[in-house]
Amino acid sequence: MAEPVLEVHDLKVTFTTEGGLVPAVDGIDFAVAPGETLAIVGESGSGKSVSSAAVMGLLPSNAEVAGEVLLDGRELNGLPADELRKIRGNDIAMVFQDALSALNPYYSVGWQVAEAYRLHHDVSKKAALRRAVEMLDKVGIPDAARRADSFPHEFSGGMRQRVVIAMALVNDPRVLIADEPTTALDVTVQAQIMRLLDDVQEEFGTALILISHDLGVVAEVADDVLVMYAGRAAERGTVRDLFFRAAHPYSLGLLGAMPRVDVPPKPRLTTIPGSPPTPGSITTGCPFQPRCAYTHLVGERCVTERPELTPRPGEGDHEAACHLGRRPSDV
Amino acid sequence: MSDELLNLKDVKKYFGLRGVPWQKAQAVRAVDGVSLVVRKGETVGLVGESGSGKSTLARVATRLLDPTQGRVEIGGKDVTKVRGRRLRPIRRRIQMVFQDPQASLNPRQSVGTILSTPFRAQGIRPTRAQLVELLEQVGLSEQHLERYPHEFSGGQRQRIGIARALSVKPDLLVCDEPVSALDVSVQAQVLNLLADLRDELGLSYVLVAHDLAVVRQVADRIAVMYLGTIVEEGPAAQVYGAPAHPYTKALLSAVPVPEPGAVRERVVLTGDVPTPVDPPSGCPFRTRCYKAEDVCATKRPVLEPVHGNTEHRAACYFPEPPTSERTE
Amino acid sequence: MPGLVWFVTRRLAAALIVMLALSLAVYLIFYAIPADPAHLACGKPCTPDRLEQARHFMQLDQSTLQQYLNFLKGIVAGRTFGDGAAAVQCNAPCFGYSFPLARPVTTLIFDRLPVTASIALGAAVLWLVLGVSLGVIAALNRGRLADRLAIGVALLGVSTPSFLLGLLAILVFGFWLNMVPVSGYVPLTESPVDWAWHLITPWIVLAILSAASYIRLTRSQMLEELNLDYITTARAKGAGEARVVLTHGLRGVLVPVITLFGLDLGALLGGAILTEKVFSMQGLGDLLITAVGQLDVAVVVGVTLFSAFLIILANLVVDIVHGVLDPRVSHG
Repeated sequence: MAEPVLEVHDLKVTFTTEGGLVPAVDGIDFAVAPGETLAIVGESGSGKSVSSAAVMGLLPSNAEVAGEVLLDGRELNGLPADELRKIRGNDIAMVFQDALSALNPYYSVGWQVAEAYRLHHDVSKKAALRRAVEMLDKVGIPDAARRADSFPHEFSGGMRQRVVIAMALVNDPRVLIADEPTTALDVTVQAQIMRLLDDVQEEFGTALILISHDLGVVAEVADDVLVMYAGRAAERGTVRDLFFRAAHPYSLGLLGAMPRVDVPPKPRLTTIPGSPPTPGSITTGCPFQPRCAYTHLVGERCVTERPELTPRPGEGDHEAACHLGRRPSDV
Repeated sequence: MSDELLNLKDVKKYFGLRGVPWQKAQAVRAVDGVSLVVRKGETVGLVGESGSGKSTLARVATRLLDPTQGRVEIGGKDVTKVRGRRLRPIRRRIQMVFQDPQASLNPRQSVGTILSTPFRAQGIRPTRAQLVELLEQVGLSEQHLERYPHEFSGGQRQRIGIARALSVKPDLLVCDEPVSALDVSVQAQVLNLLADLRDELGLSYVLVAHDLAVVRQVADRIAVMYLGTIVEEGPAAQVYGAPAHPYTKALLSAVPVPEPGAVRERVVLTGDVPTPVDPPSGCPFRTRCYKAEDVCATKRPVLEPVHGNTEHRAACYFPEPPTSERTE
Repeated sequence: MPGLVWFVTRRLAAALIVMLALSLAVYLIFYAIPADPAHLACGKPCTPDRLEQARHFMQLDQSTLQQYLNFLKGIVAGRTFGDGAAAVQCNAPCFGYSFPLARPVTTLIFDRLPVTASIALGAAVLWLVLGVSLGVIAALNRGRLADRLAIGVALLGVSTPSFLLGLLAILVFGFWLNMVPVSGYVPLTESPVDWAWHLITPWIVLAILSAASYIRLTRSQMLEELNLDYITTARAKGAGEARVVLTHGLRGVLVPVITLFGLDLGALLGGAILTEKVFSMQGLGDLLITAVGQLDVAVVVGVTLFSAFLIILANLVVDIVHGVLDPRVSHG
């Protein structure tokens, strides 16, 4: 990977709740370079959304963040609030899943995009609005100058998502984090939005972190993938590594569980028995062990010893946190 | 005729919109003339995006809604005008499974109570053994009878919803987005369950979903809806393998596949789905269609056999030619 | 916009119907009571002859329906009481004529209105500012001391009888500390400083009493509001906490708060009876109470209807403001 713009080392997020301490994220590493896309894949309880919120410093006060978050080498974790504020929305921006609830219903879209600009640039309201209209036009909103006065509920789902993207990009961020940006959208609109993100990335060289559970979207846009399970990294590598050479039983299970639209269906989908664990319920050993079909090949070690990410033999940057030692599909 | 579980004939469902008096009251044409037959043993997938009318159609089919026009026949009987208590015997034959397992189960009722309700609506008092049998059928067990919905995961709640629908031993299950709220690994479990139940109990399904891959997994016939009408229908293999309607083609090409570097012919549609309040004249898809001609604006095309095949039909004046894509 | 115009027209028409129905109901209630208004108007000594004169003068010898119609006519076009030399002209809008006070009710109402309005408006502004600020502070410091204090003040306000608080305030600030005058009203036109000075105590008293519901409403709305997704978006854009709370959070709280405010104000303008009595100010409330004591039916009916009118008007204004404040209601 080229020189990364964002690097995260040993990120841990612990929530203090009435029920005790909940480790939502338990030591993950990832990095992303300019112009490249990292996908973070996981299901409920995987900690993927919490990780990105931690990078942005958007977690509630009962969350404790440990580890290193480096933006161009500069440590973000532990920065005073006003310093962090200058970076949020400026160097690192976020696109959220549900554009309708992500936008303030009481202000026009033009105002909201302009606000994002004014928060980081000392300009007049008029100048900011002009920039906002420019951005709205760029993301494909027809008749942008007039529609800037409209309110979020007056737009369709796809258009709203474009507004959210415009708002995130108005300050030309180095890193864009998109948390399930297309899950709430129709598939034809989803394709448009993904193409928009791709175009933007090419034009501005933005690094994109895409958080998704949809492996199809990941396959199409990602360069690198991090698979998370129960707050920990299960597998990490290029997108081809994951899809063609999956090294973790969980990843393999996910791939087998996905129905496909382009090939005749198998009579039964491969399933992973049980369901993802609630954060903090598994304290020793491999969190995937209770559902793993290969644990019997390894034995007790899966329960007692927590597997760390280790590189696959001969595959350099491709790592999996599994005691099995070889590809599950080779078994 | 007797193996026709569900027969919808030119069903229309309009929702009235109250406008200011000097403007004509506008109607939302949620379903605008749909005919569909579901036979015993079939799984029919109903796909479409938002505004396609598929969920409304599902609700009209189960008589949760009254059709504005058209006929609804269940098990050969005309039930279009049947209401209230007279619908009870119908409800034995056709049941519905809903999307959100959290919202469709009463949080104040134990699983046992939830499962007993359909029985009691039919005037039967179920035995504990019967309830346990239902639970085991969906992969749960007796110990779950006394628990409450919030104690279960999403996938388990959906199983409870399915068990509830199965309690009256229906012939046809109408599932409205049964897995879209679930994680991928859990989704696969529920889809497999639906397939198993189909084989074990001889169930038929109408599966309403926006996820085309999910539908392809379980359906043998597909109907693609756009703005309240069916634009293409036929055996799943044919509709997926060689889509005839431009919308189906665009829809399928928009679905990302989990294979990096897969070469695909992408048809990206412009604009958003128009609202069902004021659909375009003629063919509803013509405003976004890449091959629209003048004739498309004149009269709405009807479902015609594609290349002489009466099983596979599309409503288009210029259907796609058969491709050499993967067919069965 | 045509939607809004139509909306307002419909509401005005509905309001008119409500007013009409209300006027009939009030009229019937008050004129059905056993006391005889004519008796009160009749001077001393009250001979049967004079009583008859009084009844005729007050048009009480006509049927109830006719009296009601006279009443309605009076509102629209004015009416005349009695005939001949002793006739009294009551100009439109005529809400009746107070015989004990020998004045048209309308005149009485508009004489007293500035007093009540001064009390109500001043207190209203104060309680809005106080209530919303404390509510916001409480929400931001949930569970901590500031929150508990704010709720405590709210509880105090809700539980204390108005006259008790008023009397205590007069006692402490008026007599013991000699900081403010203890009673009386000075018109704004006479001396703005004195006007405010005389009103400051009733303002504060009323504000404390009414702020309670605003503190609680603002607090709970704010807590809900701050959980919403677009608040996170604002933070993600790099907005400071102050901006997040005030520009983004408070905006959503405004709608229910303004709604409540409009209704409260409308009701208060009808007369804060106890407060006026305690502070010896001659507003509408005082007028009403006196009239009840004297069985001055015309005044009671008039003031009741006027208050009702204010409340209906307040409702209408609040509906419109709601439509304006929430774009989801007015646009699409």
